[in-house]
Amino acid sequence: MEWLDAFLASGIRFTTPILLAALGCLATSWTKDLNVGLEGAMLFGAFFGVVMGLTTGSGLAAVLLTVLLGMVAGASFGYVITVLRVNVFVAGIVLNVFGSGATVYLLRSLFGVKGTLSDDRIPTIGKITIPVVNDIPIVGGVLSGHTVLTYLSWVLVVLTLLAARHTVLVRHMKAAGEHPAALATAGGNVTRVRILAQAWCFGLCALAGMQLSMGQLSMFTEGMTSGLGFVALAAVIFSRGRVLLLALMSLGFGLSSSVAVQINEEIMPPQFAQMIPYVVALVGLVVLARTSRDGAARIATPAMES
Amino acid sequence: MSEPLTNAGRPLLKLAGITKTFGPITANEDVTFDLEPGEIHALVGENGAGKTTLMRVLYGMYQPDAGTIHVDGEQVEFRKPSDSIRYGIGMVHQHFMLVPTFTVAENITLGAEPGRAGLFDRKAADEAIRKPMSRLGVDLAPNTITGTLNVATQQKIEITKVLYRGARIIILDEPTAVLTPQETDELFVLLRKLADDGSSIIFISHKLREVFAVADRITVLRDGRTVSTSATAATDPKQVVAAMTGRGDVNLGRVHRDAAVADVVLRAEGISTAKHRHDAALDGVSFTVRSGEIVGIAGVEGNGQSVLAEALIGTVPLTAGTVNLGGREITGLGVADRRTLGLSYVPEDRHLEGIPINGSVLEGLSAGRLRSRRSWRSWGRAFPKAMRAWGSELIERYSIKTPGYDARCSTLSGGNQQKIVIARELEENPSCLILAQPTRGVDLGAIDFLYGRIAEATARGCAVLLISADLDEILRLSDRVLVMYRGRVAAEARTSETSREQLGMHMMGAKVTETAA
Amino acid sequence: MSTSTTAGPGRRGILRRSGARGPGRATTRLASAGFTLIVGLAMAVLLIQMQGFEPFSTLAAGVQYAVGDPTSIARTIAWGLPLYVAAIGVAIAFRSGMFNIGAEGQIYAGAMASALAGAYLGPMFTGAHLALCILAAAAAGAGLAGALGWLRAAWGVDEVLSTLLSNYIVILFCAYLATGPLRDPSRQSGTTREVVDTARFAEILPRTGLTGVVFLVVALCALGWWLSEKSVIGYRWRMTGESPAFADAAGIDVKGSRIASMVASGALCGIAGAVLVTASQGRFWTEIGSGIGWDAVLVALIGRARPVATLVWVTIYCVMRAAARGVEQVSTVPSELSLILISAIIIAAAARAGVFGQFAAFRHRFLRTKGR
Repeated sequence: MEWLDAFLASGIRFTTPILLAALGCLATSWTKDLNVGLEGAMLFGAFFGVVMGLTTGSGLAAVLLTVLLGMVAGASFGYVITVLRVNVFVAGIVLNVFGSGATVYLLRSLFGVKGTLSDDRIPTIGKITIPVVNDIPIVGGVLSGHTVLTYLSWVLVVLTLLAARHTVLVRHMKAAGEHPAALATAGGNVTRVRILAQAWCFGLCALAGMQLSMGQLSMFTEGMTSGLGFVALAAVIFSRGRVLLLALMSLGFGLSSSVAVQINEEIMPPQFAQMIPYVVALVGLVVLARTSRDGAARIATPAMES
Repeated sequence: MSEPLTNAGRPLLKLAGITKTFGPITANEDVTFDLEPGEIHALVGENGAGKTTLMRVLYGMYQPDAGTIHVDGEQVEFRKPSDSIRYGIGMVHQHFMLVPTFTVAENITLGAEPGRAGLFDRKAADEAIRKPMSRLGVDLAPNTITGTLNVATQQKIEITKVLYRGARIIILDEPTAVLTPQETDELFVLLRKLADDGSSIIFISHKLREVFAVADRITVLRDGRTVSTSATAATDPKQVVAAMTGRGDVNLGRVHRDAAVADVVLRAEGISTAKHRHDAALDGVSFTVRSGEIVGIAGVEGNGQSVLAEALIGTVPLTAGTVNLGGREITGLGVADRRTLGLSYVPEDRHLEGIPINGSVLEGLSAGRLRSRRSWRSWGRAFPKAMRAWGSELIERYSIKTPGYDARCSTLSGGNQQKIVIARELEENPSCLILAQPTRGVDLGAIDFLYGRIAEATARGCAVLLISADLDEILRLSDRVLVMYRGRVAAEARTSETSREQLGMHMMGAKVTETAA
Repeated sequence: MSTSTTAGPGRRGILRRSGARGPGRATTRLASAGFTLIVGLAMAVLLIQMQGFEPFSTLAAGVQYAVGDPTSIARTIAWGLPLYVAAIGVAIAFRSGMFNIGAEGQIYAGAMASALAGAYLGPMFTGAHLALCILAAAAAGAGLAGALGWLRAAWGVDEVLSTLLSNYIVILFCAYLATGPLRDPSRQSGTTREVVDTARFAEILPRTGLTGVVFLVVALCALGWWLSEKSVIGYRWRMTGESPAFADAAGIDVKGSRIASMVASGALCGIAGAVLVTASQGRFWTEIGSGIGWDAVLVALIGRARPVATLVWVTIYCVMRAAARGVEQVSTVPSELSLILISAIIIAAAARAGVFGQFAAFRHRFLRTKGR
């Protein structure tokens, strides 16, 4: 039973960054500007979380400042893809490369380290242990002992669900994605809504990154997101704009990542275990394409014209 | 140019000296237009005459380079649609501005949602849309998904949207393009009622019969300029056509053809398909087209005509039935094989299917010739000199106005783009030609030219299937008409023995048994 | 489309290039390239300045390191050879509307296949052995990309995501092979056995790393260009990419074109992996690709998938990379500078039209308000 306990607990932990990034990306899928640069945005979040943490010495301040920074970056990204009309797919791919290059560049020029930055002074994000629940087997591991960000991510699921049903903003995001001219002629501001979606996406990616660098560990490693952003992207594509399904998908990917860590090397080589989330996503993609009525979801790739 | 003397003092709306350019293209130049309270004022002109640009200027979607707009005597500047909405201007667009997955209430209130603190109050929305809906006689549950409604109802939702926002000036851009004759008449009754209630209406169209049926005054635009404004009673269709085209000799009657109708070329027997995109599934459609004959397919859009064209050329698979071409069954063949056997196709969506919109003119012209290059020959050069010379010759022969064979298709006008398609398809010397909406978005001059080429093709013995939403086009060209309704052939008649009203009845699905084929 | 400017049989000389694709376009293109290079240069100056170095002399030292003398030019090109092949491969797929961003994985697969063919087959006649290694790599890459291309063409499985995910799966699988069953027992780290000498290209310029593979690379680039831009096959692929509905209605085999272009793309990426093994590394190791696949994707994006433009940008990128390494030697500016610059350049290139449009709109508004 201890095995199951550890498996579920780490599954929840792995779910958090995926879920946060996916919730961010969801807004961009509503506006049909699917952000494929989650990986890069998360990497920046992880890095700047550590930087802010070392500068301010406070976990809370680091989180708030980094999210703010992320939202500003997201708004700039939104400006580039709306007003400057850069294709969002191109911008996202570039963001990934930029993220991996720039964090290494900054790591080396700010701290003079290559590879990994670990420091005792990096503040960690607080973990919440729920008194009674914690002692119940299995349930305790699932519900208790996680970082604030983990709980926040599930609160955000509920909030997003409510927002999708009841707010004008989400209505406008969906209209901006599905029929932008309808929103524009009704007096709405399509550009503003699209920029907002990107700002939200980057803010949540910053949280997702910090969960990695200050929640699960307290260090920053080059390329530490290692494909989680793409897994989150797959979750968004599978869920087709539905919040609960998205949470479920993220949980599924989190648990399959957890398998990769928990599984014994004698049963399966570690590389195969690490492959699991990607294989699951690929198989899921094929299944989605075969089962959905109107074909599979497409990422809005640019027209290669001059 | 006759300037009407207004007796109601100053007009409700006045546009003066409006000029709008896009790079080297002048879309509007010194355009003048005014609107009286309670009036229906038609704005007519050919495609590209600048009607839509002018209305977009009025609706705040474009900023004019010069000129003034006055509403109620007050000079205004519209920077975005919400500015003009505030002055009581509403627009019903040709392509509906409705989000298909939203409910009726969500669509009507979009941009002005009732509720507080950014929350959408569904109850208040349902309440608020009730009055404008009943004014138009629309009886629908507010939570109906908009995409499931038919076009005529969607159009009423669009008008409701405008009324909900409190519009006094309603602009309708080509509102009848998607309607049956009966639905059009209904719309006109509605518009007259709105005008009698005090709304002022700008009615944009290029269909003269409709303009004369509904408008109080008519303003004609040509090449971005105002040509004339006159009271409907004081002018006639001939004058208006002359003003629109700048020529006196445009034929609006039946197209003359010398073609002998002979053997059956195309025979469809009981063909059915699955539902495809927005169109109805075909359900056991049978018909024949003979050599030298033009068979028209009429019907309200979405009743299976688009699928029919695609099923015949082979881009949509059949679930039942057979298709024969010149006595050979082609049911299971792919597009390339069907084309090689003599089938040609002018697709309905020119930009998507007809031409490579970002490719060159030559790339658009040569698809047929390059198709025959198979196996190792397809490693060879696609456009050697001989091919370029051939392309240039075609450009000349079909008088395609383009700077050269390597110009981008997207830089050409709609008429010239369509000439590329027609040139390509006719150069294959087909035994059967399928035309889907061949003159949509094409100016009258080019239409004349295209009709001439089609007539020539039938004189050579080509069988033509003409699918069109424009009943006039079908009546002017075809020998026989089939009416499609919900994926079936609802009626068949000789063009000489039917009327637009009768066809309209069948388009609405009215059961008339005596016209069985 | 290159054409002779003489008027052939066409009357009134209409057989000539129209202005639309003539000088006007060339000016726009030059303006665009100038704008992006200026942005890149400004960025480089700024970043070096921020590290506290004199920007221009530092940059000059970097450029000197990259292309200062024949040996360094040869070294720079030698590093870029696999990238040329991979970038052409990616561009071919992009041109037919297939966003093959699985180049990285295909490079790994190709490298693994050629390393195995090189180490376990032979020794034999050099030419034959090399051909075998390259064919094995091409087959591995083509099989991988072709399978994903088939999934897209037949079942509509989005190729962007599937190729993306395939990267991780392939790289992890190769890592498993190199650390597990096929590990070179004489070495600690995860590498396969070294290839036999007959499976290595000979250096043509001593001590530069520039080998005979350069001829193969030139041939492949020329072939890729011909195939994509000149041939009838290329016409079908391009139409499939630009206007799939048009291609379908015109009787072009859209599915076939999609699969074929992915096969060609994967084969070229696989060969890029073989180039890495047979011309420089001599074996497969777990980080052999080092992001070349991603570089290829970026370069093909800036080149808008045009083979010639892509090759030009590969050259620029190679020089930038080498120069960044040179800069790193004379200062503390990390060589990741080149990644930052290339990102800035792509965004600048993609945003150019938007930026100019914004500027024009602003000026227009300014003049209007002044006019009142």
